[in-house]
Amino acid sequence: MNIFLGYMACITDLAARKDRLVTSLVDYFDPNDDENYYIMDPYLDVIQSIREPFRTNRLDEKIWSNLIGALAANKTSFKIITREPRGGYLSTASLPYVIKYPEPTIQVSIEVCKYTDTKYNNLSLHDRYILKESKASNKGVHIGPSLEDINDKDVSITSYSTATTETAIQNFKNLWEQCIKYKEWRRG
Amino acid sequence: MVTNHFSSHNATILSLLTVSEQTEKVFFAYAKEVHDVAPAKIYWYPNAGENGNAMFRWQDKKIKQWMLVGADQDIKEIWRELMSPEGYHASWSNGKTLRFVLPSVTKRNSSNSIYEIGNVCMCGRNEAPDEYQCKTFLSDISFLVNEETNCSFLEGYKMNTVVRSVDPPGLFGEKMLFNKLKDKVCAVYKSRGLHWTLRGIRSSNPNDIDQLKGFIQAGKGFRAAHRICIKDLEGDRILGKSEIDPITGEWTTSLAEPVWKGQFLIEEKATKKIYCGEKFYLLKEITVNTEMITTVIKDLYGREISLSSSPKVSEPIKETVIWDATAFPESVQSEIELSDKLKNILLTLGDRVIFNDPYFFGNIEIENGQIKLPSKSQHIFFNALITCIAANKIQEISIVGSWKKMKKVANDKNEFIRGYKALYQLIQHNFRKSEHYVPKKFNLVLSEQIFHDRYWLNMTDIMYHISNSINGAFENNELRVSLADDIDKMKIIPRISARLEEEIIDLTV
Repeated sequence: MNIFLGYMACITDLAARKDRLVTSLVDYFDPNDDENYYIMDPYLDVIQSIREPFRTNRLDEKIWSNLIGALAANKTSFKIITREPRGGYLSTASLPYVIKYPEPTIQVSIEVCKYTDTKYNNLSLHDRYILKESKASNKGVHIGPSLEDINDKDVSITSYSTATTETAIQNFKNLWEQCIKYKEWRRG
Repeated sequence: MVTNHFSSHNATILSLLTVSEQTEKVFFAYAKEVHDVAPAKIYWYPNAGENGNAMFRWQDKKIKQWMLVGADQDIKEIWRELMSPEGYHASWSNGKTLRFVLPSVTKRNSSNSIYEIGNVCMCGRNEAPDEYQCKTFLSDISFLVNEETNCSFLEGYKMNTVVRSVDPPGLFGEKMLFNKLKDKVCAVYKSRGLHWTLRGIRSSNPNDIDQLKGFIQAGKGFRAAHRICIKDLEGDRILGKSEIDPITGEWTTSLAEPVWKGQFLIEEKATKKIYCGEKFYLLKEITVNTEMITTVIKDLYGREISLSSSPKVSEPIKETVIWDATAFPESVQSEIELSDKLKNILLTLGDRVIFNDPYFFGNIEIENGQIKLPSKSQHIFFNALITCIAANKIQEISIVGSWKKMKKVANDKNEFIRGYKALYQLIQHNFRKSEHYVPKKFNLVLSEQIFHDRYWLNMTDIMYHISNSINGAFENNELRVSLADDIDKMKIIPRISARLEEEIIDLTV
């Protein structure tokens, strides 16, 4: 999957811009039951973009709540690493932060780990990507800008090769384990 | 307030509805001064406080009624204690004691009554009682607040095997508990006032009232010291005056001009000061709605629904509608309540209704030529829809869903569409004796867009946000419906309009 959504595309209908991106991603990932998603986006404020739309049952309001709602199936898990929000809400004492999925008819787990730059092996977060791990196949995409920030930008989404996806998944899991297990971070 | 001119042994009744925990947490206190002689001491009614025992009116919710009668002053003292932070400590001769606590309250400003005259005290017949509002209730009574049927079970105007109504029957007027709790009024004190009556006497011209006749209940001395004065409604002109018969309490006055409404005043003879007064309105014309009922259908719960000839479109529902399955005494009751709430919402949308729900109305299967609805939610929704069609003559229904989401649930697109065509045929069958009720347009839109949120709307001015899908509201045990504001409509209606531009399947074909 490779798409390039120029900044002028759907400029008069920003909702349509979001729709195109979400539809493309959902078509690529082809969600089914019992899959794991790993989301890296340093600028994803999970409170504004996911928790609040879920709480008010207005998933269409934000692109992330819309996307997660579209990818969610029975026994889907989402793990998200982000730097946001900067203050409050996501205390490092209570990781992972859990967001409740609004549809009780399916089992969906959403966990968030808030990462503070340079706390682990001097790592700073930068890239945005979404990875899927499933019995059928693993998939991954790299996303240019943060999905909440696509209105005045070109947006490119490029898919990873199988090998790249495997590497990215392993990397994510390492960082996640550090985040959850040690909480205050260790330098390697 | 008019001071009491009767014996000091007049009676007041006091009813306390409580949630019975370690203390009795009062959620509705009702005191009424009655035209009766008080017992020698406070009397607690059987099963409502006698010997400190009261039976449950609604056991599952721990609701009890405590009912007592006593002299005006004694009950006033109890009322004063109830209003205090310490509450009212009741004790019985058998040694039992109980504490009754009321939430912190503020007295409500009474709204202008059509009977009030400026700065004149009301005589009591139409006087609004003192009402006290609380910020929060001390226990969870969400199953009563804004729940008309549950309140009606307690009031006694609807029967239920689980909920026992209050005693005596008729203690609360119909919908009184519902109206008060909805406004967070948790205490009402109704004073006796002066009992008076009035009626008009027609002259030879049947359209004119030129005499008024009435009765005052008061002591002989009061009747002798006061007279009746009738003025026009604005109080500009005196239309008649009359003495009150000190023995019988009756009075009659001729009027300077015929009236159907005016001011009734009791004037002190010596000082000419007005003791009390109220506006009065006599019944003149009664119109009867002679609309013919064309036919009747039965709903899912056996209730007969009349098909009226003129569509009934209700005002948009401004307050959020909440349905909680645990708020009702029985499962069937909770189904009926949900169906009725859905129907009331649909009735506000007029003759063109659009359902924007990613899962449409859910899967509709056909087995052996019969429609099979997998979920109870669907049964409840269709009951509401059918009764709304009967009342509103809906001309057009559009069901907009996300095929990308639904296809994971539905087996086959053609089968899915076939189920919805069968649904339209079911509606046709329901109204086979009155075919003009069947909607002329019944469309299905299998949108390729991915969306999650549910809206019911009429594409002009009313849109509701619905918290659950139609096929899952009951199974989810809760539903929340709120009127969308202008900003929501501005953002969402264009999205829905865009979906309506996609492929539309006409289910009437």
